[in-house]
Amino acid sequence: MERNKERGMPGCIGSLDCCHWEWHKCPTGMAGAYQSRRDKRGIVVKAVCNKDLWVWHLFVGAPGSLNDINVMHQSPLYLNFTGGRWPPRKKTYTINGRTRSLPSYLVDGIYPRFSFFDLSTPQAVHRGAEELQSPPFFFRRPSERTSRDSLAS
Amino acid sequence: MKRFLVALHPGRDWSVWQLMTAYKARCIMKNMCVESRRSTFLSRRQHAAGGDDGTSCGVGGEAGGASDFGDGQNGGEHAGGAASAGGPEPGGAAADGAGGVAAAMGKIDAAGNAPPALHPAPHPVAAVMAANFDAWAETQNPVECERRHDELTADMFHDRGELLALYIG
Repeated sequence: MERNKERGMPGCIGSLDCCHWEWHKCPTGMAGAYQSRRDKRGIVVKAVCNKDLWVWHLFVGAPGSLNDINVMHQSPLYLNFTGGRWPPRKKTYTINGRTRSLPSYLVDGIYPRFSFFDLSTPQAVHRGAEELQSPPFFFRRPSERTSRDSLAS
Repeated sequence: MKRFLVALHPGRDWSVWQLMTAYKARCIMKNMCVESRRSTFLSRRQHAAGGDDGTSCGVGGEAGGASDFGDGQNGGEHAGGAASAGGPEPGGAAADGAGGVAAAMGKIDAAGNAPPALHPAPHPVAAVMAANFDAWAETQNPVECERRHDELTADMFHDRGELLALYIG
């Protein structure tokens, strides 16, 4: 929270977003429930990460036919938030002169307007998902090394 | 997460449980990679400040703060459980080990022999229900979301000079 405060987002404890992972071996009987986007079968992965892309929360296994809101409603993070079990209200922060104790997650515009969601800057949210969905740069290009030892290093 | 080869391709497991296990393992490995490389990254602010002022906070800074931020509830519950059980302290039992187990067992009264309450309920049931209702009403308040968004926008606009100083030179 201190680092996010320095970056102009006091009270933000992470970015939340969902992505789809295709399931190649999906059984035919489950294909309807796991029908994802682009005529593929897959599961939904919901993750919360911070600026360093450290994954603080992971919820895997929701059928691919669900959208982000459905996945959020069945995730333990949401249930703990609405049940008052998370987060602890030890740390307070101040936004524009008003002190609050309920932290928030940075989300994109599809999520409902709950008080623990911050729908301010959606591009920052997608950075985590893009990082998760793309390999490192040197993996995406043919190797230019000349020896096996340099490749291994 | 798809920096690992198995995630570059569709999942080839036969059950959702195997998919979940594979993805969790991948997430743990990614966190290990992030933690090992975290001290090598410097943000613009830290680079302008001229050094690694706590960028290796994967262990010391944010992770430490998050641990005391997140484990407060559990720690309190366990502490309360041990206190309410009234049992002998583990250190104390080891200290008088010269007397043997039989002597130590003889010192235990009926209350001390009770099974420890590992996860006692922190509040009565009625209070939990009221707390749940309060938390539900507080977290699902769209008016509060709008107000928070407006105030955050105003706060960022107020501090725009400081926030943009590193980017506009």
